[in-house]
Amino acid sequence: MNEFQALTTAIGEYTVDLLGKEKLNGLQVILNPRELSGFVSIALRDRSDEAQRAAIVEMFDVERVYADEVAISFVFVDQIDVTADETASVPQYSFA
Amino acid sequence: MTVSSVRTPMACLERAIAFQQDAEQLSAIGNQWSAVAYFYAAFHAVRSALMVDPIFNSPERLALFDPNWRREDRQNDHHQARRGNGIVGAPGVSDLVKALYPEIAIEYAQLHSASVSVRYGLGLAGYDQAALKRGYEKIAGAVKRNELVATAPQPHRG
Repeated sequence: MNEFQALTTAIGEYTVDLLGKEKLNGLQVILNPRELSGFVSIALRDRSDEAQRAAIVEMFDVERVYADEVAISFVFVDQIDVTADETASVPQYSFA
Repeated sequence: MTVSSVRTPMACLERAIAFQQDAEQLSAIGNQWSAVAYFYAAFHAVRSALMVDPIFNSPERLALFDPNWRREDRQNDHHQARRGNGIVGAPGVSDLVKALYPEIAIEYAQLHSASVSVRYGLGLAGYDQAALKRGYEKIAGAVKRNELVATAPQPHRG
């Protein structure tokens, strides 16, 4: 596992722990090693605005923890398509 | 061609109002780009507040948030600091909002996230569009009432 895949996995596992496995339908992290940017897609079980706001607070912590290494963007989705990037040669992490 | 962002508080507010009107028109026809327009309305509104925030006149107080931040960062128009190899670049507007204006940080991040999702992701299926509009209105209201003034964090006392 190269360093960028290790970083991607670490971001993914940390984020899943913070948000809570039981609260997630899925989560995906894709890293761009050239730009040192990470893109996190989050599918919450609870689709309410209140749950999303709570998740954003946790994402602030993820951004802070990895601030020296990568700029993180995050989006909320209704479901994670874990097959979408199987052919892409970029570091990625998926939880489903 | 070099494109420069608007550089004065008044110009930022004018752009914010224009984007708000765009957002309302797009929202009325159910167009997902309303989220992008609401975010950029918030972006310009917040930039107008940053440009006049007295925290940037006090290097000592500003350093309490981040020792690398500078007076000229009030004019920054990128979203996030570039990062890597242990180096963090000049703060973006999102970085400044999180630190300086926690009262609107969630709403701002939510709008930014929705804007990113429309432009680069799969759209707004994961968002409550009414909440995005409320979030923008909260930010715009705070700017209009001149409430966005950073208060330096208190030093820790041992």
